[in-house]
Amino acid sequence: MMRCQLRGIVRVGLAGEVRRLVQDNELFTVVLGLAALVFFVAHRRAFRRLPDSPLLLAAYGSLFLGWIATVVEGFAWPTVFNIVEHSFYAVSGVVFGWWGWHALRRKRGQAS
Amino acid sequence: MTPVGAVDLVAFGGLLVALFCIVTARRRRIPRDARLLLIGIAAASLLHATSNVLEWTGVTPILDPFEDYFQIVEPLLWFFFAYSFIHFTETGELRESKERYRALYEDLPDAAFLADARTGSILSANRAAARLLGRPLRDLIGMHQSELHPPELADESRRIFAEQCERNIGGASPQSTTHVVLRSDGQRVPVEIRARLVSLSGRPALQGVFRDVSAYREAAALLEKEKEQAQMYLDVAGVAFVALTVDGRISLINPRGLKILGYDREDELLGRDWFEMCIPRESRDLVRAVFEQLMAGEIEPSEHNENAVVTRSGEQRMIAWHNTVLRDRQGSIIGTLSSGEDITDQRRAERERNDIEGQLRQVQKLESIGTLASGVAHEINNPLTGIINYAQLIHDRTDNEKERTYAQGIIDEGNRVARIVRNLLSFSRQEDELPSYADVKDLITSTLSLIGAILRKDQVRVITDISSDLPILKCRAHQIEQVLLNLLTNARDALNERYPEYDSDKVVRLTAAAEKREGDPWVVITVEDHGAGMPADVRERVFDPFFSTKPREKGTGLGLSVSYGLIREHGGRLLVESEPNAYTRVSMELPVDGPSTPSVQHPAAKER
Repeated sequence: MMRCQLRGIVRVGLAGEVRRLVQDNELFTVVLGLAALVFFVAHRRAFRRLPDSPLLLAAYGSLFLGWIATVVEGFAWPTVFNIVEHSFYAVSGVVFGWWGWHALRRKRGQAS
Repeated sequence: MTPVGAVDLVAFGGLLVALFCIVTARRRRIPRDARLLLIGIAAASLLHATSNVLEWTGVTPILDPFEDYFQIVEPLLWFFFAYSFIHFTETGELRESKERYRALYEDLPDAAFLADARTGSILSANRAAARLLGRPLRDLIGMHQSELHPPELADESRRIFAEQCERNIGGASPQSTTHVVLRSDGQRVPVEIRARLVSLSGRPALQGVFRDVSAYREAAALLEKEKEQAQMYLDVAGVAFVALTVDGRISLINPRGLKILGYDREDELLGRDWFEMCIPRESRDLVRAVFEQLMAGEIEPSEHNENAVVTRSGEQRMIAWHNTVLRDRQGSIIGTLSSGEDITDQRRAERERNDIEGQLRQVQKLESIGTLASGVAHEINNPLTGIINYAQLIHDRTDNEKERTYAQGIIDEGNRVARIVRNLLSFSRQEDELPSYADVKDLITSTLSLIGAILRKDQVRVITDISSDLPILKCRAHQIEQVLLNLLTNARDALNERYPEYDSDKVVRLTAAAEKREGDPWVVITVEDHGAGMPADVRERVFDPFFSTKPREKGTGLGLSVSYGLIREHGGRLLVESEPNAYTRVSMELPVDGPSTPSVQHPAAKER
């Protein structure tokens, strides 16, 4: 149980205590997110066919920044970056919802 | 609740809205696979947010162990969503492209076939192919390409197919060939085939487009027939047809045109410069300048005009042209078409008719003047005789010398008037003298004896050349002497005008010779001098009554007109040749046997 909680990059303190810096799943998430971001950028022209695609990409971008903030949180100012992480998640969720409403619910002919 | 908890609540709300919108979205807005993935993304994110909210609010940490999995699943789902959407887009584009090609292929107005290049069997065909051959499409698929053509042309079809395959190897541009296809109803249709070698999954296939050219061939045949008909009209036309290009080259000429210009074949003139070949040198530049202005659109064409052309032999012929400017569909001038009628003979006949009319006018003029003169002469003659007789009485009976001198003056002037009256009567042939036989030499000698003294006084030499074999002439001797006297007097005056003093050239040459004309004997007496001569306008009028270039006191203007009438009365001709300051030669031609039929000669004939 303890081993599971402490997986990832750890720091050992002067008193011998072990402190988690970054978890493996967070690193994987960032790497996978980066791969997805590269894919989005590489095929940005094809995504123009998606309705209001900039909004959706913005939602993803916010989410990706949140994942980065999670990793940074382990190295410095954990409280601040924790708030930043959740804020990006919130922005991503709101933009995603906005995109869903705007792109998928809007009646045909309505101005964007 | 902490601030982070509030932020997670916001994310939760947004994601809930997103999930709702994606689930309830219309189908067409987004592809099905992509929508499922978006639902997955929204759901995973929502669970993540729910976990955060539950953790931060302290309700329950039940979802906390799954948070890491949600986080890993999210980028994967985003990636799959992106891939799914791209794949959908690409397959959509491929499908659209295929549909477009199919529509193009099916709606092609020409018949299109795709045949296996190795076996020759037809792999596909369009609707136009079915219409062309009168067979359903399903029957065409699988047929051998040679079966599209009449059986007797099967070998040729195989040869053409093989040639098309070979010719198109290496991506060469398709070349057309003509052939015949056989419809199901047995009708044979001429077609133009364009073929291209294509590759179907690595297998060579020949794609052929067949165009029905039966309508085109019918139109071409009709055009050819009309062309032949037009050529026939041109060939039989009685007028010349000449078409010129804008630079004046001959683009068409019909047989009549060739004949007028003296050529045998049209290729001797086609493409040649019309102006260089057929327009006389003296008018060439002018005619070309007018043509160039016409081609530039600066002047309107004259519908009719007459101008001379020069034939191959150098002869000039007069042509009456009817002209039309040729234009292309845009209205630009591309040349001229002219029809021309050879009016050379017509113009010559008109000139001859004018000459004869001129002669008639001259004769009528002389006759009217003669009638007038004879009337006046008769009226004057009687009182004049009285005047001269009374003057003679005065002259004979008076002793006063002054009165005798005055009476002599009256007699001299009266005699002068009497001579004029006699001339007038001669002109009008009112004198009663019967023709008699006279020796021409005696006539000349007698005349010279009358005028010899005057000529000598003016230092004019007379050289005579009288043929020894001159026949006896039947004539009114007095009239012939009068004519000779007139001619010699005129010669003297001309010499005196040019040479007021003595000159070695102050010579009158008088010749008389016998001639045979159409078997009849004629005598020609010529008086020639190298005096002042006459310009053309004077030559034209020398036989007009009362026309004279001499001072009024020297001439009456009746001498030559009277002489002309007298010689005409004898059935002869009086011809005048002259050049100013060179010479004057007057020939009196007389038939030896007197007049048979009266003949006249227009004054124009006296010019050389």
